[in-house]
Amino acid sequence: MKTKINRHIFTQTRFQSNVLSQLGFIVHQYKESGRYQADVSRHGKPMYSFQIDVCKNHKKPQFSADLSALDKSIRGGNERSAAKECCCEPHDSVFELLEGGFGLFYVGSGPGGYSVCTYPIDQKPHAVFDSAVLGDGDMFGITLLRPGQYVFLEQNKKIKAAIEVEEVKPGKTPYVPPDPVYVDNQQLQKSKVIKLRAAQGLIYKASGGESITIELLKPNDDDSDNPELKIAHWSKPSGGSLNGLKAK
Amino acid sequence: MAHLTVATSEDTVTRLFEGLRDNFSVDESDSVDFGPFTAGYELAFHLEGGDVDLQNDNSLVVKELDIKWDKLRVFLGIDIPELCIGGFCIIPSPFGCILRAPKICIFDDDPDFGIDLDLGGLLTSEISLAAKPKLNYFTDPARPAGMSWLDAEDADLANKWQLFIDPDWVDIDIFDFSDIVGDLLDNAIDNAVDDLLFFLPGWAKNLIKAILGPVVDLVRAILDIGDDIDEWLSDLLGVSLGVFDLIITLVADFFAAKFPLLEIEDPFPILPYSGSLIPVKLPIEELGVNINDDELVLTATVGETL
Repeated sequence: MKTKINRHIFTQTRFQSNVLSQLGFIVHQYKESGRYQADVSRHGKPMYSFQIDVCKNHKKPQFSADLSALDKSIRGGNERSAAKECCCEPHDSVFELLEGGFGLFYVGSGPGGYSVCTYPIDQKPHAVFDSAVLGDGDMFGITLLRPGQYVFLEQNKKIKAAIEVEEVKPGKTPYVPPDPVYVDNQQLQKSKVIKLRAAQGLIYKASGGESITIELLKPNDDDSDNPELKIAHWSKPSGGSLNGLKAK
Repeated sequence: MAHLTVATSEDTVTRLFEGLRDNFSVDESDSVDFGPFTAGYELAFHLEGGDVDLQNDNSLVVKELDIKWDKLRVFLGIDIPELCIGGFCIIPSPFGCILRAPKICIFDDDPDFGIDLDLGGLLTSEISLAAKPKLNYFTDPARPAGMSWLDAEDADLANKWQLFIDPDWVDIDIFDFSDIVGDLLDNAIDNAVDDLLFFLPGWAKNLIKAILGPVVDLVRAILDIGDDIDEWLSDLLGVSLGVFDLIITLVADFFAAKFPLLEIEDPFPILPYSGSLIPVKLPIEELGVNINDDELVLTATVGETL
């Protein structure tokens, strides 16, 4: 069987904390015991739910929820079934977590576009965590692969910084990315440039109320000889017919 | 006592052997799963050269019979390890990592990695063998029972005495892989990586290659290639894939039973058709063969009837 490459991680140039895709993740600490429901949406459309059971007796200090894998396992990957189940009938999937442990939400495959909101199971409007707006102590992590200059933007608090990602080239020993770089609002006020090597993690510790966007401004790879990855793309032709399917 | 005796010199036997040799060719392929990797081959070869030396003990020895590879390709298939990024520790503690980032994998499975080695021009090898003459009386299966010798003559279905050389032993000597075989392997590995990643831009290829580390070292480790690639290849071809045993078997079978050194029609033609006269033929009732240092000698007893 031919192995498929995960092309999404090589084509993304924009990463958002409120629209999770591969290479990004969000962490929330569940400080209080209780049963929580997590509602997952994709591009704003409710998709499915699962539960989180936080208790002093549970042993795991972390659960990692792959939102794309759960999408497939809970909904069977069926887009149409989302409308029926939409967040109102929690699935049997329950993540157990030690009180004070961390919930990590990420996208393990596909193009992403997920957001997640968790709340005590009987208190739906009162979210303890909403990926649309990071709370105090939440973390947004990213692993940038493509070398180049990025911009780090947080609109609510008007934070703007530059990220420079250095290219790595094959060497005599396997490349192990350096330890992740941790930043927060205060640090970004002082230092406006974050320097990373390709595949090195960047973790932003939120102070509350943030929504982060990281976008590639200028790649510094010289790929003039290498065509961009071809992505299926459709645009409506000016005549209005459906003959415009083409590779971008 | 024999009625006829025909002696053939060593040179003549050599010419006969050359005809036999030139009819030999092989085209085979196979593959084997060794767990950590799969290996297969496609081979085709013919034979050239060969010094025939008649022996006093009713045998002949053929030396320096060169294997000429028309094709010798070795395919290696391995699964390179899972290639993932991320997975770093977000919150370390003296007791271990409390919170770890997710791993995002570059391939949806362990990638299949195919290496194609064209060894055709790089392997020097030759065969030597010792064989005894073996006679066989051949009746064409297409010949109907009861068919007369004359009808068989007309239908080209005459019976034949066949002289095979039946190997007592066959040796195959692998002298050397060319010095460039190491470079060939390294290039094949590089090509395989490029094939695997062909549609990625350069920066992505560089990143994957950097994470993989020197792929040549990685692949050599998976294939368990030590310092001596010649030895490894000989072991792979000879022991693991059984190519050399296959060659010996094919050569031995060919000489022993597939293609005779000499065929003598029975009855033996003396005079062909001449006008209204039927051909004159001599029935050979018994045929014997003996080899000495100088000659291969055939003795025949003529039968009383055709």
